[in-house]
Amino acid sequence: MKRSLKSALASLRIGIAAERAYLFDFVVGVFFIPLAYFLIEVAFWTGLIQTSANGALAGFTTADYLSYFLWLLLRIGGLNWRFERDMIADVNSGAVNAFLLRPSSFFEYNLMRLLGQKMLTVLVMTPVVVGIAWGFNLPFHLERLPAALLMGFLYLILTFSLHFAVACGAFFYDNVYSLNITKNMLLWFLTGETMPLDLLPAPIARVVIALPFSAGVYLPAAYLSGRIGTAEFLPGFVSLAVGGLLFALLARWLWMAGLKNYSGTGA
Amino acid sequence: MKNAMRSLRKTLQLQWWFFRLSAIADLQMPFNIGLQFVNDILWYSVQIALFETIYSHANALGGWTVAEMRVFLGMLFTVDSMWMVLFARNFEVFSSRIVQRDLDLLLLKPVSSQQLMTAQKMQVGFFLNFIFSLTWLLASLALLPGGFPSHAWLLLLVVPAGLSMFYSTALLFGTIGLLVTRVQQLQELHMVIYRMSQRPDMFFGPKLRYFILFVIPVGMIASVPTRVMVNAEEGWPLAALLATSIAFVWLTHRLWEWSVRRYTQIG
Repeated sequence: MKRSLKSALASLRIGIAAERAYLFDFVVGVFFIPLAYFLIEVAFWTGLIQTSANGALAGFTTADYLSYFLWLLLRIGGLNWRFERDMIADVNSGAVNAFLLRPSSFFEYNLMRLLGQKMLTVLVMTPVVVGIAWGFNLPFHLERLPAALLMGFLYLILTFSLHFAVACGAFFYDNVYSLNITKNMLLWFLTGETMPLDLLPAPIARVVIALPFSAGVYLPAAYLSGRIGTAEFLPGFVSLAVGGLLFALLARWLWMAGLKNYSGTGA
Repeated sequence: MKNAMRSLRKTLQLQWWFFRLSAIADLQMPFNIGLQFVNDILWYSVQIALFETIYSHANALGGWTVAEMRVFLGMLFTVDSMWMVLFARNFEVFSSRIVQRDLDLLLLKPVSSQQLMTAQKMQVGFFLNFIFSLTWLLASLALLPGGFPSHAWLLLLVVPAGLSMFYSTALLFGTIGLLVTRVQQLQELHMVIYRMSQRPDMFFGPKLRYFILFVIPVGMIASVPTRVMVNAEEGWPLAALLATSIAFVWLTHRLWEWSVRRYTQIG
């Protein structure tokens, strides 16, 4: 147990160290890219609402939308294309062999590395989020931040299992990058990163919000901005638990089957 | 003049061979082609869902009804699908090729290093997406309140101009790879800025509009070409589009040449 914890912490530190290795890349990746994502959404939704007839969209004002998109600054539910490509490449190229000999597993090593990267971003960007909300007087419930962050990190573990399952596909097929893009396209929409999910027509919105992917952006962002209350927010943890279990089982099954297939070919 | 024609013929001939080689390679993996098609259709669907949902809450935004917005989406999809066929794959691996010093080898060859770096690998599978996008664009033009526009032939000018803007902005960010040690995050920054091209320019404030139309002119990729098609009475969009695209292609080409010279001198 102690050994496992030690190796997990070591992977976490590797994730943080890798992120900080190149200062220019670090500043752009942790600060400017999340800020750019946020500012683009701000510019778009502000312009959109200003050009609409009544200064609101679906009953929500510009400030409501800005507060919602503040969550994007933390990048917890955001996609991480480069990380996923690296993981697939490790399986494709045979670099995974090295992990089979190590005391920590491929899953644990990559998960902790991802958590390390994301924790660093959250650490840097949380004061920025709070500062923007305070400076621009946006509707923002600071007391809800710990619960929202908890949901964000649980979602990260869930979505990592899904990334891992796709990467395991590389044991069976030469090229699973396209499958990864398919998955990410769906996540991009289903998390609520493109727009608040409650804007969708009511029956579709109900289904999409009930899925665990809404915990990536919509639920924490809407909860923090006051768009939804605790009663709508808490069921997100249930769908996360169910989805997390399913994806973890899927990832484990694909890993075991893939490894068997991989060893069978003499690798 | 004669030399220029000879050089152009050589470039086109080489490009034809790249196309043939890429087609042979891509057709080895028909499943991958199918997935690429599905992925882009998913991306189109997300964009369509976003704007159809927004227009279900408002009749007109920035002077455009849903009919004009569909033309904008058609323009965006058409330019994007051409980008995917001709250049996308090369820019995905642009920074890693520089890091792996592939460019050193390319500089020894008697053809343009810019062509080899940016147009060597094509993705012919995306031709299916081009057909889909063009069909969407033509259908949405036919559904405009005034019917199919008589100046539809201008598509032959505005689509290549939009594509050249896409190419030159990507080249601008890629070229910085020759000047900075690690540029992966900068390429992600280009994708972030590219997101602004996925929204009509009039949704942005005056300063940001100026920025995306004339500084990093991603607004010229789809938004201005759409204005040419739907707001025929406006004279400036076509002139601005053509002038900016020619100027930007020339400028980024010169920047590439200068960066390559500097790279060669530093060794």
